[in-house]
Amino acid sequence: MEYPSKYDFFMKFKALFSENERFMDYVLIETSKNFKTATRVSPDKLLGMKLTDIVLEIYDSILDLKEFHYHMLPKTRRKFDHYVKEENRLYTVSIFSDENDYLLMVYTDITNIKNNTLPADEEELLKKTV
Amino acid sequence: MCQLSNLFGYIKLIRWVNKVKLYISLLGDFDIKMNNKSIIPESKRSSKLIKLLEYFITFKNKELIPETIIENLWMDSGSQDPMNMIRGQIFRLRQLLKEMLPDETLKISFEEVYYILEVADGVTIDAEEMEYLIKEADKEPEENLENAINLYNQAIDLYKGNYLSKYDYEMWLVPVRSYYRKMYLKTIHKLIDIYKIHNMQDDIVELIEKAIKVEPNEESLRTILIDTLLRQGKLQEAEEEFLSLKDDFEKRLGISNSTSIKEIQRKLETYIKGKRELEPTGIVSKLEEEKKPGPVKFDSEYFRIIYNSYKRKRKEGEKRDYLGLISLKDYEDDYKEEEYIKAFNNLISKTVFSSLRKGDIYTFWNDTQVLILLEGVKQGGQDIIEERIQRRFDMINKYPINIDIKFIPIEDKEDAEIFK
Repeated sequence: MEYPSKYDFFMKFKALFSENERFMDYVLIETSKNFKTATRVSPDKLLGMKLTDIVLEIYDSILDLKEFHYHMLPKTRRKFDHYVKEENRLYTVSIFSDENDYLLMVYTDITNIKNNTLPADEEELLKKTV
Repeated sequence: MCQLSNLFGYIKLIRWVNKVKLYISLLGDFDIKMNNKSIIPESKRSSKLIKLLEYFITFKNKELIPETIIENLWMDSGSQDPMNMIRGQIFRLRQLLKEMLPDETLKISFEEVYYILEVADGVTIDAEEMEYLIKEADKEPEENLENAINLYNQAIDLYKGNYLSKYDYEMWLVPVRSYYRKMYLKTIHKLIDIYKIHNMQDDIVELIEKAIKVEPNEESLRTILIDTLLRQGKLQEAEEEFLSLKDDFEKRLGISNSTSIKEIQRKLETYIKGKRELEPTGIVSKLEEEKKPGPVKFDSEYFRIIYNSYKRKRKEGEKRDYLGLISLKDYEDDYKEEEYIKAFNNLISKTVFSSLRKGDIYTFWNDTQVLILLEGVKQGGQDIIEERIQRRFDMINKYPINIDIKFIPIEDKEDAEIFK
């Protein structure tokens, strides 16, 4: 079965290292084309910003980078459930960083998938899943 | 029954009091304190177990899979069976937590595939406290500026260095360290901006001097410090600070000049040139200060000079010059005296600023007294000013302190005892 992917989006970061090759922070270098539709945040505002600055200055319940940025490290892979109450939407957030230099963060909207799997009340289901 | 419920209530209260007093420090050195006393056994302070505990506290109330913990903490341990190692470490950490906190204020649970550190209500973590205070300060409306400044300062005081500063470099610490460090610096800059708007130069210097003890390499703060010292006319201090900054810069980065250092050097040179090579042409523009609202604050020595100048040029007429004295009252308290004096200083600066005319001058004669010089006041005008000062002070004063205001006319005789 195919599901809509209107709200799926990604962000790509480039790592910053010090002279002695210690990881310092990430800079956002790319977002998916539907980023603004999916998050209502303009990518122009974020592109080129350091991750820590985005976390401190931009709050968006869908991105919720404060929740994930502690896990955003070079050469890591993480996967989280992420329920956005305001939108009543459930995401899987995957963080990939196979190489030292780049990190890809993918938000996959799984609300419909969860709803079709279990014929329960939507809100209750989402709460349980979270 | 009633006695029993009282007893339960009492036990609950005791537990609450105990819980409330657990304080975890992460900004700077790590510690867990109960009633202001560290509960970490000395022998365990630098152990692997404490590092694991620090990791769990950083991710408190979050589900952590063992693989992630291993990856972050023991990737290089060389253990043949890391899963077994982590089980063993967590078992020992649980034992340690039970010894330190028998009431399970901090408890590690295992659910399905993940571990979670559950932190009971009432535990205060300095990093979270700092964040909370800043948010509260941000919410304060403009008229409660005093409160906002107070909250920002409280937050700033909590930051005693990098998050878990004992570790030189740990990859997992980079994001959390960077987060709190930037939050701290942002707050310092926010407070500097407020001080700048209200022309509180002394407060800027005090704040930056405090901040650079924690962040000595923060160039932006040191450049603002030099700039402020120049504005205050403290040329020698500005030069010393500049040389020290340049020296640090060379030692740390091996280069003698950055754009900001060049910029400061240029400002310093312009200032020195402006001071030393004064020509008759352009004297006026050099002497004139920026247009600023409100009265002018001098230090007590300048105030004395100006007072005597007023006295000499005083003429008989309808208008008179007045010397005012505002004294702090009702502040003697063994525990809060210092706080009240600080509050008086802040409150009176604002009160005087909004109550006096542009040409009036004032000085802090000591910690609890302010002197004011009013020029050309009509008969009875000093009473209006006195009433205005008292009213404006009462409007913003939230402390159990008061002020006493006295005005005396400046006569061409030795009547102002204070300057004899």
